[in-house]
Amino acid sequence: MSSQAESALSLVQGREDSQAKANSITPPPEPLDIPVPDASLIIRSSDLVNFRVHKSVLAMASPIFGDLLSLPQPSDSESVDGLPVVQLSEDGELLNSLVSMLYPVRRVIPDSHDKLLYLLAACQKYDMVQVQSYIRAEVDRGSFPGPVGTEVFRAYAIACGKGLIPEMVNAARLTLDHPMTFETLGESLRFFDGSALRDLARYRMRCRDNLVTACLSFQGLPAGTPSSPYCSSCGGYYSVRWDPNCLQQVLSRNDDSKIQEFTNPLTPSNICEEYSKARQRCFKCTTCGSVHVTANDSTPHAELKSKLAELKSELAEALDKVHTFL
Amino acid sequence: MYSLAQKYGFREEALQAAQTILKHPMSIADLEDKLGMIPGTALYELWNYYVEVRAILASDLKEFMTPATGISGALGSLRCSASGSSQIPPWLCNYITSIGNTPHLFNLVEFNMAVARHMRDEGNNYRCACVSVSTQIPLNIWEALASVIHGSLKKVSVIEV
Repeated sequence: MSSQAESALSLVQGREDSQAKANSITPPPEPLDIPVPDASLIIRSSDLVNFRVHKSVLAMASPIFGDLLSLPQPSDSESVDGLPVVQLSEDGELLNSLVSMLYPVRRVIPDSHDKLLYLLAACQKYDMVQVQSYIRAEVDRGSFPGPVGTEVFRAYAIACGKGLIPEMVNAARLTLDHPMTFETLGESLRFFDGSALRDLARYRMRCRDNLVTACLSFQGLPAGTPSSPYCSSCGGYYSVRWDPNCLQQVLSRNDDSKIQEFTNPLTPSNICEEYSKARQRCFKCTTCGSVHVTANDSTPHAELKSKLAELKSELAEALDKVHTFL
Repeated sequence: MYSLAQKYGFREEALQAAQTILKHPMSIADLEDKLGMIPGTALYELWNYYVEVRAILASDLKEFMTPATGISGALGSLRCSASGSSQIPPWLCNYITSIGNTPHLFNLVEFNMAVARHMRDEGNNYRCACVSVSTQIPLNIWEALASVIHGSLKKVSVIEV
């Protein structure tokens, strides 16, 4: 499609200026300057931006529009340049992205994860399955913005509110990397509806329970083979082996599970990190007191690395078993 | 109750409920069972109320503990051996300061526990007046403290959601 046609789909015209908004009587919105060739319909955003589209394209993408457009239009329905107008509740920025997904033009990618979620919600609302699948595939490829830091809480809340199950599950899992306190939630609290916040709190508790259970079962493995590498600092020897007691130390430091889950959440990564720190303390050479974790990275530590990788994998599996909803 | 009061625009009741909530820890862990009943917007306003209360309490309680304020009269002739040059016993200073951070610690049980902890630490120190203090002085301190805190709470209102 030509660049002229592309620009016809962009958000360039039809937005009411501030003066028009101040008027008590809303003037009719201006049609887009460059018409889409053979456009047969105008969709109008909540902020009064007109998009010229083809009925057939819209109907192909959305069975809901297909049904809607097959109905006879009332005689007094609004039209612009002879084209019927369909008023939508989405804003112009969102519709601009959505319309760009329907045509072979440059895709208008939302500039934030929140907007991406609202775009997916619009696809869900209008049953645009293919468009939604395309967007999700692009998200998986990393082409679309993901939530940053504690934005995951807002992402979870929006996804819950809009019934976007995959995004909700993904966001719930990502929240585990952050404390869930009023401070971290901040303004995101406003986006939570119904039982979403309670469900998230309970999901995190279940995750913690599963991780602790997985850790406890991992402790049942036999301790590694004792070995005595040579200390290059003092000439003494120290022991390197998998030590289940260090895992116990990690769990005992996190024993007030309910409060800890919200202030200091357990994740496979931080369990392994804490284990490594606990193990480092055990690595101290009894003669010189040096820590030798990285001093000898060959055979003795290979067993530890392997055990840690195994632990991390088991913990990740334990998390996968936790359902976001009960 | 807070949620319902906010929902129906009963500001007075919402304020009373918010003040009652101050008697409990304000954390996700403590509110977990109730999170499903309070809409996010109402919870956000409740959190803002809590933050504002804490800021005002911290400021008012700091002023309360400066010389020539209410607490001096309440302390009477009490001279704690741990006070040093300060007139206010450190255990009392710590307790009052903690209320600014966690308002639910303002209750008689916590106050008596703070007294009891100090007694335990200073039990063998006969020079500390706190050990043999009359019942009237803790009562005076409590009343003076309550007066300041109630005054602080009156300065904060809830926002209608």
